[in-house]
Amino acid sequence: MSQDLMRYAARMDLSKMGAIMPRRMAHIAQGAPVPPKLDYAANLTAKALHPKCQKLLVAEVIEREGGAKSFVLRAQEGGELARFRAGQFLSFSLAIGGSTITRAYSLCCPPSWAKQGKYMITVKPSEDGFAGNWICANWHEGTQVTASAPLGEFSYTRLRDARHILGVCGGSGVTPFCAMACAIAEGSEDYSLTLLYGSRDSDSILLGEELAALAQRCERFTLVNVLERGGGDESGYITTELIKKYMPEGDCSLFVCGPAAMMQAMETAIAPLGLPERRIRRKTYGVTEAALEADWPQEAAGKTFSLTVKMRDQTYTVPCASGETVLVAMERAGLEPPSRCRSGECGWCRSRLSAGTVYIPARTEHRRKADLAYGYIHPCCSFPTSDLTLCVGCE
Amino acid sequence: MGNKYDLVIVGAGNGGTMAACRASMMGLKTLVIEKHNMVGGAATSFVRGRFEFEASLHEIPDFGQGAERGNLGRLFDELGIQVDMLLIPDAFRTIVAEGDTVTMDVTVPHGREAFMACMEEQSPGCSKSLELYFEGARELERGLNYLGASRGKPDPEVLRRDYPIFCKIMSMSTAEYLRAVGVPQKIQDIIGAYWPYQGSDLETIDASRYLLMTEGYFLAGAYMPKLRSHEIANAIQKRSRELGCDFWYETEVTKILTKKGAVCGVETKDGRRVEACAVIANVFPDIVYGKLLDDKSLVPAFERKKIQARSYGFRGFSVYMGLDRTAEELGIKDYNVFINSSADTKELFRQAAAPELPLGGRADNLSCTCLNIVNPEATPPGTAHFAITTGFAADAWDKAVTPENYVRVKREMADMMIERYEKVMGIDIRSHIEEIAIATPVTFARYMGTPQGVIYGYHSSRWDGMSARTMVGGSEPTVPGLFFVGAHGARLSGFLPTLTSGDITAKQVMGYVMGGGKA
Repeated sequence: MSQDLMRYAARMDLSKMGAIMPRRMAHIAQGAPVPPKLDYAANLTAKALHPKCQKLLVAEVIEREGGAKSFVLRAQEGGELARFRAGQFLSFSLAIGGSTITRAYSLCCPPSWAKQGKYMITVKPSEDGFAGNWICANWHEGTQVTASAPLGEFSYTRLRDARHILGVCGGSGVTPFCAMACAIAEGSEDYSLTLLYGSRDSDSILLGEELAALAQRCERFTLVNVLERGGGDESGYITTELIKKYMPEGDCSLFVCGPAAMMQAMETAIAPLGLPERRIRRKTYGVTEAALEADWPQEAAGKTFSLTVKMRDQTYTVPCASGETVLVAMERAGLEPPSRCRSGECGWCRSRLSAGTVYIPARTEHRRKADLAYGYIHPCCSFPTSDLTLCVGCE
Repeated sequence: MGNKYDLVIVGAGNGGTMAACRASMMGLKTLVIEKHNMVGGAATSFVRGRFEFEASLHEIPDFGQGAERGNLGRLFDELGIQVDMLLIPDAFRTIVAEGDTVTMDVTVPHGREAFMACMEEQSPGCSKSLELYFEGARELERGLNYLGASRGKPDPEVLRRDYPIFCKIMSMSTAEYLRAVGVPQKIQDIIGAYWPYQGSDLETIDASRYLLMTEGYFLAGAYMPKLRSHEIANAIQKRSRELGCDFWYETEVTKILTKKGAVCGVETKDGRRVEACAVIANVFPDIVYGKLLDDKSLVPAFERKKIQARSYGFRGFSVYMGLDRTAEELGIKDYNVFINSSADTKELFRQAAAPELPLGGRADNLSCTCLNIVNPEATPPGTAHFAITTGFAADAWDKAVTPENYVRVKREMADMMIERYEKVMGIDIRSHIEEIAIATPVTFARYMGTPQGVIYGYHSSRWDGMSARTMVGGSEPTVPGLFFVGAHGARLSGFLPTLTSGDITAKQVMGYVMGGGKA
């Protein structure tokens, strides 16, 4: 024991040690013997903003261009719905045949609708074959549906983005921009949006009338219809030159959303613009297909592998075709693995691959580094290249 | 009940996973049930664009390498947990700026010699007092070892005779102890910069807690895992799994079941029942007593009163940014900068505990970290990982926020914090934000489920600091078979305390199970 410290310690009061417990007891004695409070505002706000799931029903079905439909959804119990930022999506849980699958659809209504207890999504059957067709055929007024809370990062963020967004989209990729235009029009967002919207012809402009009306009454939203077959504001495809033509003076953020094939074409178109990475935001719409990826190992083509899935105290073995994701294989077999975004980003389907190999497209690679190192994958964007063993929701 | 385990652990935070590892090592058949889809709790990260943000960890002490291997490092070695750790170059840079006028700016290095030299430069002649200060840490550890060995029933005579300094330090606040050993005010102001890590002022934080923390950081250095704190979680999970532990994710425990006055298992939201001899809750006692326990009448009145008597520790607020320039290009040289408006921690804590958010005012009590200073490979070439964190000690956030104004309020807070950093440091952050994510108490409430989104457990009051919680030993019983790990434990919050709580608690469970379910 240090003699120096002992000398100093002589000034300290040893008897205080004995006071620690009586002081504690005195304080605790003052507490009321009542059950703990659990309904704190921060927790209630968290629940209101991010409910685990939302029970909705179809309140209205609106026919759109080319067989597409918009669905106005309301809370089954009535009341408000979880707030969203324009550009976010809902992940729907769909029971089709013997399978339960998920699909993400962007909200395409004003953000203020959530407080009024309603949402709107628009589904284009052709683009998302399986689920899109099924929804358009089976959802009617009164149909009950289950959705996630609003999700996704394809939204304007003032601390990050330029105050003027140049949007580039095709097909269903227009839906998040529709919400943004609505938000600007209703005054809940204060940025400007110029939208380059590619469609085949004037009859196939999804949400065309709504967007035209919004552009009409809202100065900060400019709509440019780019029609392959001519007759729009611009003709042909969205090219580097066209983007340059409509790029606003000064600072600008480029938001790009569309099906995978269009996204690949757009990467080529935006590269020569020399924009810094922080000024480009991307969202790929629709399903992920291995065959579309340039570096997909061709030797896997046409093969079907065996997938062993461990789920808590159960083990299943199901087939897994090389061209479809591990997630789809599980859903097809009637398992109910977790998933939300289906684009690799949200990580909700994170599972450990304990045996086998997969191909993961570089553009969908959003895993944590430690997950990469410890053998975890996001099944929504992983394609089998051998037989697999996967631990889902358990280890 | 189809499933039968010796131990079920509810919640896979630092405490829960570490308890799983130790329990499995000792041969207990263990199941961890976690409502999220992975282990870690606060020890996690998330990906935005080409960045992976560290959610919570600023630095972890007690690792050390080689001969300097610290207790936590040795614990990991013993259990066979491997994590790639990187040494943080300096302890911190502390800046006091009243308005925009900087009145103190000191960069404090790690390591005994460098630390002492730096302090000597700041206040010539202070070394002697600091030697005394750190000697106290050794006395403290000696005393804590004796307390541990006495299984919470120390002989008062032995304590007085053999551990007098330990006894004295245990009863003191940090400020009292600093004054008692004669540490000059200027040095107290520098050492005090760690105050936000304990979420209270130096007159309130126990000397025991602060002394152990500062000794760990200043003298032995601090570390960051190479792949974020999520690597720690994955590594402990992997080792536990190898030792036979089972993990269920996305499974919410809705009930802790009891039989004849003791815990006998759990029930999950989807109706599964799991039998267990003991349950460790990596969950707030508030929630266990108020919600999970099937028979609330078993909660001792003393425990109910204790919850009501306690207040919560810091609620966190963090702004995570991926910047499109390197730290060097931006002019960021420090891993961790503390920016405060005063060196008076009492005043700082008073502000943090204000009933209103400082919206429209100035952000204070900032801890600003740039991961690339420790780990140049933390982000893609040409970019940087930068985060600013503050804490609230009162319910201000609870009052200020509604679903309506949430996005705006959190943006305004983040805006103030960025502006404060930029002005004090003369560094442009704003023009280089490629990704930004803002975590508020609501975010922490969402992911961790803690009351009000608290990240520090209960406030370290004078009557409820590390000393008092340690002296309690086993004298504040809960329901037989129920154990707690996490930030509400004896060593309070932080990675080291929560990981340690898991290890210690698993050993207690072993005793309980071996004793046939008797405490």
